[in-house]
Amino acid sequence: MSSEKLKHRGRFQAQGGGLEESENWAQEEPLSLKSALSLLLKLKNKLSPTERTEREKSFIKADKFIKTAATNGGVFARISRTFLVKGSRDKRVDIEVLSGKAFTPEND
Amino acid sequence: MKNTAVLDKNTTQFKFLFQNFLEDKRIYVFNQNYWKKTVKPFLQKNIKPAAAENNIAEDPHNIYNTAFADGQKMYDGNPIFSTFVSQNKTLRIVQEEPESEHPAITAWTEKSDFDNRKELVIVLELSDLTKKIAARLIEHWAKDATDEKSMAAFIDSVFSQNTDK
Repeated sequence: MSSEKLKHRGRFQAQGGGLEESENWAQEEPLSLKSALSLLLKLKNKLSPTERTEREKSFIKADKFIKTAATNGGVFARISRTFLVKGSRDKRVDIEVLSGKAFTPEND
Repeated sequence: MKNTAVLDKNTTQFKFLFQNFLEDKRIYVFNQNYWKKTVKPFLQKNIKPAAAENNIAEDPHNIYNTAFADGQKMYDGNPIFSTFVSQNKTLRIVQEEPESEHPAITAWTEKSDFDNRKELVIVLELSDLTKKIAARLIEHWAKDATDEKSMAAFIDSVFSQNTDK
């Protein structure tokens, strides 16, 4: 099945300053809190130490948003959130929930 | 290509608007209405069909979900406002906590993966200065910009006067 047909889709992105890295999901079940945090960490680990350090606060905010969402039952698409590196032109971490549901609590 | 930004570090005299919007939900709603009023004159008349074609909820002025699954609203300004501005162009405004010593605003355009449309993203701390820059960008995006490239050039021209490139 093509990823577009899967019900629950989205991605985490680290962008700006010439960087464009992402971690996507496309699956039949909503993305759980645990899987979301794991994907976000995977994205973070793709970056160079400098890129990671620059976006440290943005990753913290993204992590916090995912956890807050989980305590509120998750989120439904469409979600588009930008966590800009303060003072930068466009260095950021983005969260996009393209379809379905994400960040569901573990017991959901 | 992601476009440009501005942080005018020569300017220190400015006034934040809706300063407590993250603490006071009433101010937050006033702040949202401010954006609605600011953007309205620039919107094309066909945005409702555009939103429908793109399979977006009835309200073309609220493209993104800003509530959690349990219905609780996020009230965090990310985004504080989003809308279709024309058939294939959208706008997303992320308003951050006012805390910088200098006017803070940045903008870029990006292609949406949701559907066949392009989006102007503005991230700012709202002040009497940044509101004017934002309004210029929104007007050009809605009325004149034919593609991302021309918008990039316009953003550059607006920011070139006082940017810290």
